[in-house]
Amino acid sequence: MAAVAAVLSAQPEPQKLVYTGELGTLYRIAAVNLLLSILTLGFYRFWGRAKLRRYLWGSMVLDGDAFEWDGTGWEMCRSFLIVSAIALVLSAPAYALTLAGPAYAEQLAAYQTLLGLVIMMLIGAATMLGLRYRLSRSRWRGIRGDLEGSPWAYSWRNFGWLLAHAPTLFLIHPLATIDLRRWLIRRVRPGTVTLECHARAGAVYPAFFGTIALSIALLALFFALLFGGIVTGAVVGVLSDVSQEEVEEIGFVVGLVLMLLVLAAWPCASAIYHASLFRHLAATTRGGGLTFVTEVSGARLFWLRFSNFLILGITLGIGLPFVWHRRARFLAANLAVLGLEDAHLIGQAAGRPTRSAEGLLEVLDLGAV
Amino acid sequence: LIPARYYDGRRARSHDVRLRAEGELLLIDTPDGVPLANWPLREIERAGSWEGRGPFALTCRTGPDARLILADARSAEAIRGLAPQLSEVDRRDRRRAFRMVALGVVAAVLTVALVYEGAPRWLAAAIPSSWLAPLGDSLLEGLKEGHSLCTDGEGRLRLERLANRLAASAGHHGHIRVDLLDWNEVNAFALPGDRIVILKGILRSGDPGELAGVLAHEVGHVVNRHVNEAVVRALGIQFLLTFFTGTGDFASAAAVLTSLGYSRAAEAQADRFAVEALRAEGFQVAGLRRFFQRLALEGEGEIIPSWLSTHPRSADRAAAIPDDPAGVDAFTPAELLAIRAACQ
Repeated sequence: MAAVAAVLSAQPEPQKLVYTGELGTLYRIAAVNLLLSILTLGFYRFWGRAKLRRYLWGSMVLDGDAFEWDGTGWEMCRSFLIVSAIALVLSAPAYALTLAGPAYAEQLAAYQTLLGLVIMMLIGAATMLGLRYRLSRSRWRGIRGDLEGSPWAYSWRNFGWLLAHAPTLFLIHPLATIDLRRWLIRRVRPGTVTLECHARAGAVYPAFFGTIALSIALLALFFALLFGGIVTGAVVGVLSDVSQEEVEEIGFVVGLVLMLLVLAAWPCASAIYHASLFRHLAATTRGGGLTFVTEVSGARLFWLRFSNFLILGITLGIGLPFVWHRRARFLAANLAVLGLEDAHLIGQAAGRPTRSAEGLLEVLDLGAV
Repeated sequence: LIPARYYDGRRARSHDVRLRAEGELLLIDTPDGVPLANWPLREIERAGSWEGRGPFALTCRTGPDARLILADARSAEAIRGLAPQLSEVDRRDRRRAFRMVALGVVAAVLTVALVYEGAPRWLAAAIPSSWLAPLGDSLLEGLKEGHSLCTDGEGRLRLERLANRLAASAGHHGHIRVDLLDWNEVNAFALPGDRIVILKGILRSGDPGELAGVLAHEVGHVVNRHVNEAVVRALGIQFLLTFFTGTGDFASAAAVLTSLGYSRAAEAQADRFAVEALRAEGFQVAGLRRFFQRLALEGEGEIIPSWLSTHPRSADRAAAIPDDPAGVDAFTPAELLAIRAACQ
């Protein structure tokens, strides 16, 4: 028994990620960025984004050392300009066919379908190029990250899974997600570390079905409230002195709130699935003596998303820096790393950091990815 | 001696170090005095964010993967004293932001001047109207949804004949096509490709002078190439919005084209054209005046202050047209009957 106790006490403690950001500083950065972006017709946003990332990355501390973002505004701007120029060339035939009138409607539709397919195909490449850029500009103790592998190989894989979604009524989603994340994680290189990932879709399916059930329940509840509101409004309108206009005004406000809640239903309900996915990926990923620990629960992620949604709605977007702050705090509170006592063995990432940035992600408007 | 942590950029191994300057170099030694690295003071740069309370990280251009992590703001101040370029970063950032704002203002002025005023005017003159005919057809298809063209008898031709006569008097080459649409709104449009559409609602008053005035106004838009200008402007604005803000998509240009509008100056120019062209052909101009007076009485557009609206106020437009009874009606009663009969 004493021997067991000795072994347990020798077990290294997981190192929690610590978030040290200050809300006031975040607001100051966001306000300056917004003002300068307006005054420069949006062009400052790249430099603003670099500044914000430098601060957020620098506010994440692991084992006493902060992360670092060393990307620049110019490289993001340059990437956006290059991809925009290509997008302009690709959309020129659509312009020409639109101007050519209804006689070319069929050709226009065919071209737009083709363009749509190309864009769908590019989603994977955009995601991977964006992730590679972010990893290559992130450092910890001077060590850079990287992402190996071909963006085109990932693109085809992603495209195949996207096409498989509709025929399977989206039930294939967890299988696709696990396959794609596993593929990416195995190619992530924090310095010289090679990560292994043995995630299996079966582990996240129960949470996926739970999310679907909760979404349906939430939607049913909202529609019941909506229906109840309409009936109550009609009865009150008939029986009381409240004028028809007042009933309509109240109905409009209530309807708006309910509509916003319906919009929030899936992102909030999917917290169950996403928390499960995050837990499973963390538990099945290891490399270089490092393992990852998270206890994030669906309920906590649900509350984070729902409260963030309310903050953004009530403040009409002014609360966005507060939302970033809460997300960063949440990530830090729910992720820890084991095995950092061997971190000194991690070497610098091989090869030169990528030159391409996130232009494709931005032009395809896939920031959320 | 300034305490710090040092990472050599090859391994993630942490070294407690003491920093001191000697000549042009920053010496990085262990607490026992073992030298680990020397950085030229002039080559030292900030790494990561120096916002808030730190930590404050440094790197060196001669070995950009290596990092020095300063323990606190006091250490950061001490290093700033040794390497003044570290304080330059803030000033450089401010100068860059100022330059970008200045560029933004110049770009905004140029955008207004070129995309809103200059380029549409030059390009409108250069683009043959026939190129835009398919777009006109497409917009007419949109207008026709739920309505039909009035094609009975000679009515449409009477309108077209007057439109081309007025246009020719101003030296316009090419044929203007006029269509009458079975739609009870009081409105008329000039479309790309030298096309005009008159809505049936205009015929309701039974005043031939009003009808001729409105038609002459639309001919003014065609002759002065306002339609081509509006197309170029709409496409240009859509393109710039997409390019500068990174939002929207290039394909939605088609949607923008459906909301073509003219500037107040263009509306006034079309009004002046109508008066001059009708007079030149010996027709009465008071009909257009009556039309605007009627619109003003019906309260059109009065909610929006005139300087905000793209169209000048109807009352102002009526006042700008001379109250001149000279000239004959552009349409005889028989012609007007034929035009109205087209929509029966």
